[in-house]
Amino acid sequence: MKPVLAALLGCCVATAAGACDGLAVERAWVREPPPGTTVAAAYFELINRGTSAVKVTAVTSPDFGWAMLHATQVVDGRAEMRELGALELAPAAHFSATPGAVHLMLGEPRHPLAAASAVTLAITCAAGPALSFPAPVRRTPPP
Amino acid sequence: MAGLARCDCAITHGRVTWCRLRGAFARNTVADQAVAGDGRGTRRYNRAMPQSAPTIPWLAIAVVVVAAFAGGAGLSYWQRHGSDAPPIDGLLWPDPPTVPAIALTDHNGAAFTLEQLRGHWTLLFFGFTHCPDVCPTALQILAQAHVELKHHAAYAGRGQVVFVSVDPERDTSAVLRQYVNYFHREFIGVTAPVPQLNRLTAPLGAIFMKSSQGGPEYSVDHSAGIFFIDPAGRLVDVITPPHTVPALVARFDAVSQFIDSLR
Repeated sequence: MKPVLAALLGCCVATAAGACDGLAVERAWVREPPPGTTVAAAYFELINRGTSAVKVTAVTSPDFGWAMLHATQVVDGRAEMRELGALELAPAAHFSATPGAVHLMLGEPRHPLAAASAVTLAITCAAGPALSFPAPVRRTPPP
Repeated sequence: MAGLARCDCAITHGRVTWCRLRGAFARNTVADQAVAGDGRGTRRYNRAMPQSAPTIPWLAIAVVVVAAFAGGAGLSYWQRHGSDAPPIDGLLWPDPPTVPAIALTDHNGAAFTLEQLRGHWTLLFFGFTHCPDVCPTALQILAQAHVELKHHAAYAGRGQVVFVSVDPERDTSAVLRQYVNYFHREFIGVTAPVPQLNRLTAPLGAIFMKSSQGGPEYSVDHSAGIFFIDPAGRLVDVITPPHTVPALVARFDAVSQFIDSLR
């Protein structure tokens, strides 16, 4: 891979041998929290590029006091957030956290967040050390 | 409660007019079945069947006459109802509920009532500022749609976006001001104590309730649709998620064209 392309992808693709083996992260980003608010939402895609199933037990961030993976359900026109449990990704399986569907809710930011900065997200799997990756803070979804 | 049920239907199915038409048709169907299932009717029909050819023209004529009447009635119904209710998703017609005259407080601490809706097309969204996903997603889309719709004659100069916070406990005027200005400086944020909010949301079929699912603090489950309020202060359409700017703009054009054509 050319160095420039690798640098460009560095913001949104992460893999780490031995950590959550085979798991890749793409299109990670955090919605810039509007002023006065103390919660944010992170979005990302997980792909299991390995040959065995991966069990994701938690997604956290050292930049926030707490994080919870939520599914947004619209029931009878009413939006509800419901916490998701562990994720099982079979080989080649994808998991998408996208606006209006699934998000990582982040609370109690430990420092001010602004567009163009980045936060660190960490995925913990049932086996192996956590997989950490940067998620750029954006006002709008990436194109 | 009738209004609530009607709007729930709109939100669930996104096509309240057709839901209501289906209701009317369903009633007709039930009535028809009652007639068809009537023992006397069945017997008369069964008696006619074995009769020979000379009776068939009378039967055919009867069928034609009945069909003509039925067709006429259907045409009349369509002229009275169908022609002024185009197939627009979520359209609340012919009986759109009027936004009740509830005293709300806007993001500047000023009173906001039904009068601020009159003369405007209003895109209204219920939410709260501690909402991490659905609200900022919808408001971002509303901001883009608001900018685009300014180039549309029906919206230019009389279109507004109103964010109704259903979390008055945390969303003070100061909090709302920062929040709505972040999305667009022309957005209006309003809220009221919960009892007033209940009086506002019930006739519109909107719902909200506290939830313990939002992390250490509480969250609020709430209606996720975008409510179209016409310049007469009536709720005329609800567009359900997922929202996109093109779909929102197209829906507004269709609804405003229809409402404006009635004047």
